[in-house]
Amino acid sequence: MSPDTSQAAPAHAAPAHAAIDRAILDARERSAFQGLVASQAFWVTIALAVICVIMGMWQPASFATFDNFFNITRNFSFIGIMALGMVAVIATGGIDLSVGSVMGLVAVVCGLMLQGGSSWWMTVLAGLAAGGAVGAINGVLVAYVGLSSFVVTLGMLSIARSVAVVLSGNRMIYDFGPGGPVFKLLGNGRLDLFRIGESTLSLSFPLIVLIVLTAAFAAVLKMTAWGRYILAIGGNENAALLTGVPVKRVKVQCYVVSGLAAALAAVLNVGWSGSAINALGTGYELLAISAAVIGGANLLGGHGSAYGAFIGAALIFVIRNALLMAGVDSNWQGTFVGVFLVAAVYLGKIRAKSG
Amino acid sequence: MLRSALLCAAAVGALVLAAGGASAADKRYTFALVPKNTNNPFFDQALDGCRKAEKELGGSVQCLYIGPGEHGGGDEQAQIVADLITKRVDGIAVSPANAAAIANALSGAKAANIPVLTWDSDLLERDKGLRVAYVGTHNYDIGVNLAKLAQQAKPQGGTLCIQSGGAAAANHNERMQGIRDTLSGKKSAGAPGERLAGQNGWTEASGCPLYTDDDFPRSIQQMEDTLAKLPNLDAFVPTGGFPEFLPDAYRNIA
Repeated sequence: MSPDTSQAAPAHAAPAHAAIDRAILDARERSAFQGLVASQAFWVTIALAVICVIMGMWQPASFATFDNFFNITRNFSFIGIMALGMVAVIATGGIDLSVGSVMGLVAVVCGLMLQGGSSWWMTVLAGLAAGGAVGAINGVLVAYVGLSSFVVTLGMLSIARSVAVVLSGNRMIYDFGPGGPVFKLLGNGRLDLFRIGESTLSLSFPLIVLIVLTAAFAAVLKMTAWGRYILAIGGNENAALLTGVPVKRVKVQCYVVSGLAAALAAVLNVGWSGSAINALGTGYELLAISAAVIGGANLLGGHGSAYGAFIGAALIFVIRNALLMAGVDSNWQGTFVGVFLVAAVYLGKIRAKSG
Repeated sequence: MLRSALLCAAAVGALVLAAGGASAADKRYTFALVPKNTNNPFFDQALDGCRKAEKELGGSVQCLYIGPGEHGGGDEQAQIVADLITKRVDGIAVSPANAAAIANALSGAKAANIPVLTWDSDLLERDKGLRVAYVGTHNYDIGVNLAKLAQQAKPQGGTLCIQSGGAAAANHNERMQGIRDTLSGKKSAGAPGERLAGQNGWTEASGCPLYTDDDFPRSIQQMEDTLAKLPNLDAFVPTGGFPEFLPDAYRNIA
């Protein structure tokens, strides 16, 4: 808007502005309520709650226990952390298929460092550096060279796994040296909250990391220019470019974030399992993508939330755990996850039409 | 919105129905049988045996067969075992895909007083206190016998390629150690032994050992590629049944 027009028509514009203001305020009020009800993550949360209530009433002795809460929340933390990074990439309209292999690579890097006598924090830094570097390569090839993210990260899926196999000499590494105990504690540690009778409610360290990162990423998406850039790029890349968004740089950063997230998940997983193996994370890229999409990330870009990644990962692992606790043939797990995935996206489509 | 709510309800309903069919556990003992992965026909035989025992014991025992779909890094299997301990099953029999990771999960079984067996593959030496017994083959001896067959076929030694399962699986590593120790004539400190580089005339081809991760099509490709690359290879020694599970494809190569 040029300064001329705003100065020229104050008399006529005043009532019109008031009307617009009112409309905007109305829209905001509605969107606060509708935004909640219409968000895919909200309905997934409801579905998750329903499953938990049913399972809790039906299998109180096994499902609804502090121990089981601890297990489930730790198990989905690894995928949840990866899914946060995935949301950043998917929101820009891209995809990162390399994250599972990045886990394998980072696991081997960490294993070799620890075996070589490195301290725990050097090892963590090296692991994160490896994941960030892979993400940077992905990002540059997508943003600056202009290749499709699917192709670039599919290639990286193969490359990172292969480098992991070569580096490890295809051996499992579990002699962790002096840095081992603290490194293992990162994935294996727990924070005891309170105690009722025999059982204690505890949070695993990976869960705490996931919660902190989810909150941080949610704040970044909502409150920072960078967060707005990501969604703007995915919404309409050309429009974003014309409004001055540094599209290429932001895209690279998203892939770096995804690589770092996968690396962090690998660090925690290796710490928890106490062994580094190049096969770690095989197929996890699909779990991370599923979690992001169940939580409302749109593969066409422009949509995605941190909480969605969290709740999507939670749903997948609660389904798995519920089937096990209920004694259902575990081979059905994939069917349930698949049904929820498609149903969640279908829900999102209805929402988009009605809204 | 109504339709979407119905959809949700239907999905949850299906979950309950499916689970309801399988949950008639009164005072029966529930024993979990955990394979490395559920897409390997080798483990199906263990399931068949478990079902047979279920019948023979007249329903006093329930066999809960559960494992990860894919071999992977073994972390999913460890998560499943941790879940089973929380479920308070009456016993766990596991074939560890990642011996170190599973030991970590099994420490909880000890605390919960749940007896543990390992089968098919064992824990690492340092963790063997975590299980009551190991049911399976003498893996090292399998390797020794495989090596003897190779020696019979090629008394002068030569180039060989070993094909294994998962790099973290103790059973395959012990078999590999048996092969390597026997061919080199020297006992090594631990599994999977020392790579053969000319000891007693035996050398492992570059690129070997091959790891299949129990992926049979991959095992066929590995075998095909290796034989194509090394037409003069003297011995191809799998530590378990991999290419043989795809009989037609296997016959075309072997």
